Amino acid sequence: MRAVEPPRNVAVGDPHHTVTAIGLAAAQGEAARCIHCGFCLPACPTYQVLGLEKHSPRGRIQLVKAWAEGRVDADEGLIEALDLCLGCRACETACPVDVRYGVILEAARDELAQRRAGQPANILLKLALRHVAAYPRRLGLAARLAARFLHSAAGRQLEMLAARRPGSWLAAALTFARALPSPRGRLEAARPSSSGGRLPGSAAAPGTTAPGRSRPRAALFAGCAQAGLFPQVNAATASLLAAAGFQLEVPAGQVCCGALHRHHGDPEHARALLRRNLQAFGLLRGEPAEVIVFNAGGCLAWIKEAASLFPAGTPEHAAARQLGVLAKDVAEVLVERGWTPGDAVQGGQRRSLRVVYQPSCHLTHVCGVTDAPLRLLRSLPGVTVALPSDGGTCCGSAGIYNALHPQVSAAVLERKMAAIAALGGGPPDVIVTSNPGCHLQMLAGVRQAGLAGQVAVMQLPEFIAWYLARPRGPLPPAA
Amino acid sequence: MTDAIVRELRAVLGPDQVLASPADRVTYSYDATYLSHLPDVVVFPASTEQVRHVLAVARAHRVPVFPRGSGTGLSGGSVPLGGIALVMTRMNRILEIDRDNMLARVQAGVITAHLQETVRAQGLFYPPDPGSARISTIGGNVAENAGGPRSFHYGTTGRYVLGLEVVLADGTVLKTGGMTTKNVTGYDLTSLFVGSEGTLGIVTEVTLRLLPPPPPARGTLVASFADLTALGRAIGALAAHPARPTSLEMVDRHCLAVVEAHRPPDIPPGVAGALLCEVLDWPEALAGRLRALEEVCRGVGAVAVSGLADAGAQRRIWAMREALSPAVARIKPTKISEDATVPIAAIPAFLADLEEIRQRWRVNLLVFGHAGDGNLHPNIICDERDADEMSRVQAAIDDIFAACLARGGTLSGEHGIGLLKRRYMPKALPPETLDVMRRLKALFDPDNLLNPGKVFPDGAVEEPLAGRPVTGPTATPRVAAEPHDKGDSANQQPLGGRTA
Repeated sequence: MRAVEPPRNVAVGDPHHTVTAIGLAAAQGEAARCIHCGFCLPACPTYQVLGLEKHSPRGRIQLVKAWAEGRVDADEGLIEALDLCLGCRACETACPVDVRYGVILEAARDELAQRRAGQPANILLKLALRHVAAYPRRLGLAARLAARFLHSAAGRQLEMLAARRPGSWLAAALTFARALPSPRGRLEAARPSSSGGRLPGSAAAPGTTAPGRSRPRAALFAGCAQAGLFPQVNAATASLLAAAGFQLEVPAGQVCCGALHRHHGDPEHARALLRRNLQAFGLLRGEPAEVIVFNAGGCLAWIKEAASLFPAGTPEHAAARQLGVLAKDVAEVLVERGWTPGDAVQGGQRRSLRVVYQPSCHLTHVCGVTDAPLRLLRSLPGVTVALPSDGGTCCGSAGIYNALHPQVSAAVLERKMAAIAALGGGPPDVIVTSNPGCHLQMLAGVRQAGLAGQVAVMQLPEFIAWYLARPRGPLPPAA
Repeated sequence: MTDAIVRELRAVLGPDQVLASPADRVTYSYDATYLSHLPDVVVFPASTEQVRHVLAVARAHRVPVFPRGSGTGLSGGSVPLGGIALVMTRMNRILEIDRDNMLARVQAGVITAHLQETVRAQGLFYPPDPGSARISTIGGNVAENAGGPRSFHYGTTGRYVLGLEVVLADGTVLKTGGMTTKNVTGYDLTSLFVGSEGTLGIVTEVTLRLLPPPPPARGTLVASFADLTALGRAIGALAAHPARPTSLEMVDRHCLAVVEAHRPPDIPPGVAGALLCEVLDWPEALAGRLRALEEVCRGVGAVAVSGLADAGAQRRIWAMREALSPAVARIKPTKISEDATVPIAAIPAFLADLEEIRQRWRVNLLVFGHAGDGNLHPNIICDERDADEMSRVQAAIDDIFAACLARGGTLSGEHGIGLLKRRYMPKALPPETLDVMRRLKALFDPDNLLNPGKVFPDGAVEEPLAGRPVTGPTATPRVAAEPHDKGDSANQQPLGGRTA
């Protein structure tokens, strides 16, 4: 007799279980559609780094299928295989028969999360996600505390220990910890104010003119990691939207999107957060803005799929679906508005800048937003834009993957930095990303590659706003 | 017993290169067919010497060895039947690119596209283009003599293999061929191993011939036909014409119906089928050549022909072709891809046979493929959970191969026999021919350790498919004898696999 029951036998009385039972049925249907052709293997960062079939999408799908059919136990390698998946979903783009890998992964992870719910590490993770990660101020504080610790005597001892053990868990973990920014000062201002209203520095970028037509309402989703660690990105987003002629709102009462909670087996909390966001963005009252603007690919991707948390037919489900339709990436919004930052540039030739755009995987593979960011960047005079030579596969950030699996994350990141170096011509001036997690990871990557002080890392709105504000200035400050 | 084997393998390869967890066994149990069967242990040799060590352990315990690359095969050729799954992907070094002699020496686990890109960067060209080139290994390509669309002009993998390093079952490291394109020094052992599906030895190193890159201008010819006879005539006429295209692909009307939303303006609605050709030439010559090929198609009764040099217009054609696989997969979950190949003059008659088989057994049969080589891919879209449908599918496949052989054709053009087609071997080959093949197998592998159960239709192979060891005493795998694994299998029921 197997120690673990096949997951389809879950009880359906508890509402949480109902969701996973529905999810697992869908997952088994999806898994049956996989023809195991292997086309996902070259797209999968973990397969490329680890070289084992169980760390490929095809392997994981076959494992979930074997698990559901009772042919393999969860602790016989399945847990490791699913834990080490980045969830970047590049395999979905590569799949010739459109298998929705995300559905399979999510359902299997939910099931595993329930079975592991009592384990101390998972309780700790759940608490951390619920009570720290979802709050910009607490996140910023945690980052500052981490920085202070690293500079303390104990921190320095750890650093010395890590230096003696390159490639170890500790060394990899410290690489990421060191990359945490510690935004100082007015964190308060980075959060939506209780009255809604403006973000600091959100005046229209200089040299731009608002198009002379109606000003549609745009609501900014501020996020938690973005607001807590990279408040300047929200300010820049607001300034670009204003320049493009939007009437900007930053709705009060908005909270974390819940993606991390959802992806780490806490759909209950994700549902609670989503409900609050539906309220804050006026979707339950039927008075949302014309567009709800995101600048973090990971949050946007989750919000587009989040309606599945509510049963079909409920008002919340309808509202969440509407949110998914109104939610758009900032680059997409600007391009659709017909606003091109290059047109806003006044004056003559400026110095040339070499930019590498490392896109958010979820922006690419879930939201399908690939052209708009490149169009915006390429419109800037003197800026040459390239994707890394790997075409922009996952950098290894993947939410909090770099914190949970630092060694694999560091290996994925090493390949990423090699793919940037392979473009030739020396390190780029700026690495531009489209998600706060990727931003953090690229900061770590720049250090890991020994490029600290040479390469700036910025998010897309931040870079464009910086460019527009400094017609002839020096390079952006390097990481 | 398995424990002892695993211990010995770990001693010679190192612990990281020998995996035996259930998750590892499950994930090395399949290829790109619907077949699967658990190996007892999975090994990842990093050198020719380590391959020899694995074979020594296999000989000592009489455990079968099933070599594989990336597992993208379409015949079950690399599906393990218990025993040792020998994964070649860690032997992935390009050892040498010899520009002066236009050849490359690579380890068997090199990814095909990686080689293509590497030689392209040096101004050279490796032509074979199997559909799985981004995933497949050179060793796997050699084992199945892989083809692809451009095989019409450039030939299959075998044409590029100049020499091999092969580890034989007794541990001998054999070198065949050499560094020259012409080589008549004794028997052509290189060709013997090409397409031998890992049954004669383990290929560890391959010397490949390279070409200069093709001319840079690309054109696309698309021709539509109201009936399959005219389409068949056009294939023959295009193949025989001095301006013949670089690739010559076809899609039938059932395929066109599935991708109707992507149908480009060049293909009128309601046609019986279309030919899609790639033409590579010099920019100044391309237009003239496309015109000549258009004339050929009109001459045999095409209802619409376009010779396209514009990149956007060409993209639309190939985008439709690429949309075919996902569109087909949305119809039903199970896809059975066959590889029947006929002499090109027999294509019209064979296409008529296929249409009749489609109706006789009420199966969703679509035909596309490398028409210029007579290498058609009749695909049956079905649902493996539907027993009634699957029995009709099986009958249809039997009829497809019977028709193919009756038209002077062969079982496989580029996928190999593997497990899927071995039961048809006695019908495809005279008994003497099959007997000589058996004697060759016995000569190279007297204990039947290398990929046993493949290619040959012999009865001995039915046991392992039911979850028992192939030869000698390997432990019965704990998770092997599931209904899942049974009848993948058995000669009588190659489709029963996952219906349980």
